[in-house]
Amino acid sequence: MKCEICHSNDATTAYTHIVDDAKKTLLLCANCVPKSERSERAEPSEAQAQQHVPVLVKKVKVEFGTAPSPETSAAGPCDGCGMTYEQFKKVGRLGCHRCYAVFGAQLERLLKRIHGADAHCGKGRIDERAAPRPAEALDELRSELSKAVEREDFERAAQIRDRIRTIEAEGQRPVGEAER
Amino acid sequence: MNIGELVGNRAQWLSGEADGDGIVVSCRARLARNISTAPFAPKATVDDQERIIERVLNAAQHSRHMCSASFFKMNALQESERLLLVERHLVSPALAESKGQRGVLFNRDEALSIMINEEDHLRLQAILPGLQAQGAWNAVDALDDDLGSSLPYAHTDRWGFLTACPTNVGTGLRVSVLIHLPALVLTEDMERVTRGLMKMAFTVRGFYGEGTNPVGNLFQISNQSTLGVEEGKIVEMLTTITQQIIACEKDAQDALLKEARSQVEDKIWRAYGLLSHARVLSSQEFMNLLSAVRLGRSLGLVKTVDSSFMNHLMIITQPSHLQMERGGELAPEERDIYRAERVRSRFATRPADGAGLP
Repeated sequence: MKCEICHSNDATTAYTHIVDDAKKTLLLCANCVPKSERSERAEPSEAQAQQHVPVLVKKVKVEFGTAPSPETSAAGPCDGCGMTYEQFKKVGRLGCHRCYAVFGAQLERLLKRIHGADAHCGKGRIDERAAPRPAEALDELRSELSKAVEREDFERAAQIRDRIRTIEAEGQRPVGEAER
Repeated sequence: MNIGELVGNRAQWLSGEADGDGIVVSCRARLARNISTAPFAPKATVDDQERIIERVLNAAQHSRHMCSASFFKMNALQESERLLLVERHLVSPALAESKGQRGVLFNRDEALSIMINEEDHLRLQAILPGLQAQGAWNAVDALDDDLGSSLPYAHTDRWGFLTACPTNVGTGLRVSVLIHLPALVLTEDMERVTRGLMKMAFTVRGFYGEGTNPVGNLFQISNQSTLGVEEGKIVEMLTTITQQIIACEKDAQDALLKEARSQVEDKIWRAYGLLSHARVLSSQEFMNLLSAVRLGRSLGLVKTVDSSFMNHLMIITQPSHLQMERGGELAPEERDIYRAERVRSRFATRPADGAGLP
């Protein structure tokens, strides 16, 4: 498998970035693995916190592992329907909506290749337009937050944090039509 | 509605309205949708499929667009009846041939339909005559809003509507136009057109969609990509592209007439003569002859038959339509004889003679 940053060297290291409970693993080559001091800087220091720098996350943790061989690189099986990525590659069809979350990393590349885009633009779900957003939206925002922190884009991270808080606050209200 | 009634039914999309000088037959917009509480087709059990059908029928009953629609379960139909639905573009060949609990729901005018348990739980379709891609999209969009208010669609903000095949994810929208391009075929320009369309992420297919060969110079042009471009934009692009292709086809038709008027006229009127008098017509020959007469209509040479007449003729001369009308199975050679008989009788009572269609 190629490095997910430079896409040219073979990936040797599984770089896992954990922000609160959101975990994101990237398979990287030796050149692209962040230096340890850089990753430490991602966590706001006590001094920064006292200088009114917003505390974005409770804890940031980085783990290094060995990149899995191509045979085992596929995630899964899907917790919704039991389909593995290998099975999907054979039949070309996914087994349930959960597959999109479980095989997210692989599908992201595939979708980009098929459609030349990796994000939806257009209609939303009608029952979502009035009702609170589902858990998937929160998952996505949390992963976006960890990415923003990773690249030290704290302004963006603060925006995302605020959005998560708003959605979570809305989630406390009685659920409307969404789960009908 | 009884399935037998379909044979003589006048589907709205065949009316010839807005046909761009006889060049555009119809426009279709389809949406792929799945329910988040059930596994997708590859993992769905018969029980899941039953439950999906029940939920969709229930949702459709409460929709103002499909509350009086007829439902047909594929398993309850004969093969020839399933093929009849394919010939009328109400179901895909895949739905007709696949196994399991599946069906189709459609209105009497055949403009709106829902395939249940095809590749996705729902395939909503709107099909209108002529170049009305916007109209088809508006119709299917409104139906989708109705169904989406009671069905929990599988959808995420990031990837839009989730589909069994990643090629449909996002909008789930495939919008297509059925177009007659005889002059561009004759001038060998279709390859150039196809290449140009591919660059804009549009694709050219045959009469029956995916995996079918073009017959009678009829092509289906549709968008390839469903992710990252808004529905309205796709519809607008298809409309603009189609208008450009119509202009190219008209130019090519005019050029042909200018360069070889006698030969072109001869080809058209010979085709007209054969359709009016032949005793045996294979499906392929019929479609080619009809294409020549369509060209004659586009060029203003043939005035006795119109698009509506030819569109209906194209549907009622297909194998299952012939067999259903005849009331029994026909061997291929019997079919060709009966086809010629049907065509002859229609030409003998064509609308311009005041007889109209039944």
